[in-house]
Amino acid sequence: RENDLAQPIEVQADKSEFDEVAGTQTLTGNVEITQGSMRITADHIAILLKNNALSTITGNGSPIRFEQENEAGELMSGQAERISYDALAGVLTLEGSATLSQPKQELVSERITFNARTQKVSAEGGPKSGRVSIQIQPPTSADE
Amino acid sequence: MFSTLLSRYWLLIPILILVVVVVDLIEEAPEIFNVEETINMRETRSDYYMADFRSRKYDKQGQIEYTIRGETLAHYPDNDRSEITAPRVELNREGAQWQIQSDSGTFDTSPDLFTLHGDVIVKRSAADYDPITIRTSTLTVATESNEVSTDAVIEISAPAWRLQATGLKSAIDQGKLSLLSEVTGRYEVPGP
Repeated sequence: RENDLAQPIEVQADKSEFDEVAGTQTLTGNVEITQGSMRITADHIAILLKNNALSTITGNGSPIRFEQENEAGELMSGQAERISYDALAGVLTLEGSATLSQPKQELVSERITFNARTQKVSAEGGPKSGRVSIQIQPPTSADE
Repeated sequence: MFSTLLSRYWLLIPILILVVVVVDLIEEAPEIFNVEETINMRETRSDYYMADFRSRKYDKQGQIEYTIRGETLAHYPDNDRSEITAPRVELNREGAQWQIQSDSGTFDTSPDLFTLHGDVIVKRSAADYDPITIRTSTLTVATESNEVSTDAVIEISAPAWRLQATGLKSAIDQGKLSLLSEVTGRYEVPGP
């Protein structure tokens, strides 16, 4: 949801290292990040501060998992090996065996970018696979 | 003659026997009589005392290593420890100033170590960074190795974020804080 972007970001983890000179806060172990309806779970997350405020989140997991409600209140979920989230622009990028699914649609690609402001999704094939796979379920008679 | 003495003072004999037994018991097992061990008063007496004091230590390069203020300080020679009420410790490291206060604390030497207790508040200000405040219940400050640490629950707050955890280890001359477990936090996100 777009109004997720105005919500504070809450984090939980086993440990954290704060390096003020580098402007980074790393969270390790059972990391969970929530912002409104968005939720990310990972093994390792690095938070980059700009002007002492949260700017971007990057992380990896085995895999890293993401979920968020879209404007229609439907749950979108995805996973990948790596994630980056620009909190100011509201742009989330899933990389490495990335999948993003919402009711009746599933997107599989090397890299998927989702813009929460514009609600637009874009996907790129990676050097290895080079392909983007989209699966859209046909509407059932109940939907018509 | 002896029999007359005996008939007159026979009662003394059991009393004398009783006294001998009691004295012997006191030496053997004083706890039976709950006899307080005499405390060596010299050990618990401080050898110097200061009130509304300020003390400053300089490092080998002539820089102030720390400044300590407090309401009272009492030094005890037996363990070379000072007990301080309302301690205020000030440290300057790499362009950052650390001000640490608490209800009470102790100070040990070799190496210099402050152990602070009760409503410990650490305020860190620096030219290049937002101010940070750390709150906990107990904290040790090793002024020579620049290590600040605790096993207690802590809260670190800055204008745009706040972290809570159990346990902290920090190298204050390197601007690094390690939060040891049960980390939770909240970040305000600036508007677009």
